[in-house]
Amino acid sequence: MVEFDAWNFLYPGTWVIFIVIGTPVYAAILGWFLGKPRDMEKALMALTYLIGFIVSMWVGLYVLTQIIGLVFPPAM
Amino acid sequence: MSSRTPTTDDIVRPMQSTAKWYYVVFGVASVLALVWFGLWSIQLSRGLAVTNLTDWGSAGGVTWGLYIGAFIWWVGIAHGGIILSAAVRLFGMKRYLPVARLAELLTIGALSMAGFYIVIHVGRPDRIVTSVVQAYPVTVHQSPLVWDVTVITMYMVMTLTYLGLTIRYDLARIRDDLPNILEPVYKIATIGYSESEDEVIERIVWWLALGVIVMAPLLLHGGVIPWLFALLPSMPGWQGAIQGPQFLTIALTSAIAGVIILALALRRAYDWHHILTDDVIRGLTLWLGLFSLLFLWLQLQQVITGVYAAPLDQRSFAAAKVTNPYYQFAIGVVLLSLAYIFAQAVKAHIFSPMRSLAASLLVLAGTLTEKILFVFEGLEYPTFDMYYNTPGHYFPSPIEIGSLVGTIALCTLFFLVIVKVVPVIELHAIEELRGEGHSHVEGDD
Repeated sequence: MVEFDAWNFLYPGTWVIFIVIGTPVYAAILGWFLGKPRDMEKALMALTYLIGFIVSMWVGLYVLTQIIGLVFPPAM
Repeated sequence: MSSRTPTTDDIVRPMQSTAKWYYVVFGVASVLALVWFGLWSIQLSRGLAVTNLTDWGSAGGVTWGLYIGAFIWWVGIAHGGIILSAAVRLFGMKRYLPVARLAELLTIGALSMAGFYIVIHVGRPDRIVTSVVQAYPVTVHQSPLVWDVTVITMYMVMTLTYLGLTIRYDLARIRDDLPNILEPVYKIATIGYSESEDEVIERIVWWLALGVIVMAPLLLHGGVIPWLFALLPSMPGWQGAIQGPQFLTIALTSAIAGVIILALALRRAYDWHHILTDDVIRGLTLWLGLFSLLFLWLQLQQVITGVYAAPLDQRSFAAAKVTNPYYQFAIGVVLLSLAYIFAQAVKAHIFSPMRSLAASLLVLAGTLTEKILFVFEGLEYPTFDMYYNTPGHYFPSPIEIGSLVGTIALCTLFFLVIVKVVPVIELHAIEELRGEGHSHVEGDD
């Protein structure tokens, strides 16, 4: 009997994140560009919002944590 | 229900005048937040040794406790936004339109507090971003912690995008009534706006709501967050497929309770009784009852399968759980709230906004207690008890308890600031209440 082991060809996180959890995000973005009423400019604007918020969130967190690191330097 | 007709003036009032209570609440919340920052600075200087999370052995082997329990609790509260917005936008439940934006803002505030808890819980916050980002291409394939970071990021940015797009309609129309000092902010927020975009933007946010309503409840709070625990076979209190539904019901219960508290606080503060009506509060109270019932039902499932002829490790965990007075408190207060909700459903005169407020506060106390217990009892009762001969028991340190006060104060400050910046009630809600209708809410519940 051949034992099935998903780990042999695909790590769980690969399909859990990029296929299962990604699907609603892909569906929303496809809906923006392919749904009707269609307006490419506004769909691009929405995509810019989405990417802009991802970047600002992580850059903001980076700045905040660096400030914490400067104010409270690790003990040597 | 009040016979007053809602107007645009109602929704811009928070930005045009400041009452005495505002300064008092702002002052108290600021002091509490500062006290917490003082306590946190002790932790940042001396490390996690000042918490009770590092005492392997003497604290029962608990390295995750209040911080992670509170993190889950805040993510749960954050669910209110998308449930209500989706109910309005996807299912046409226009009754809840007046609380939709409040709930979306609660998502932003509560998710920020959840994220803050992760920063609080690490010994070296300055390493978070670099370690997560650099290792992401490798860790995302295997680590549930990284799945968690991914989905929370997506949930946050999708909610922000949703808010950013829907608020353009309001800001463009009431800009003259908004504070001049924030003009540059409003200019950026409405960049390129024209009335012809309304229909397209409605469709774009409809798709966004559809994406988030699937992702947030089913794949975040019913998915990656419970999987942080449920995938560990060595912890009988954590492991198992029931954790997904259980986490989701607790999240939904906390979320509705949070929205009720927020709606009642703002209704009183800004005399919005004719907008956030008793009818809306009663509807939310009934939803709270339904989710509380599901929460208790899933608790019953876990208790029964744990105490009746269960494997030894599960029996040991279940016995510890049901005999813990804090667990009895958590279940007791949710039961009490449910009794009120059931009674007011049968006899309408039993309903009162203050009772619904009390029920919501009790439910939030219950869900927070249950979540903290879930996290640390899961660690205290593993299948192989390494600390049997060095008995100890975890109890949160004052610094950990202080974080709860601090994050609640910070979330309060967030709302005190946001009511001064943007309208927290959608203009659509006012139009709808005045009978001017709007295309995106076609049906009724």
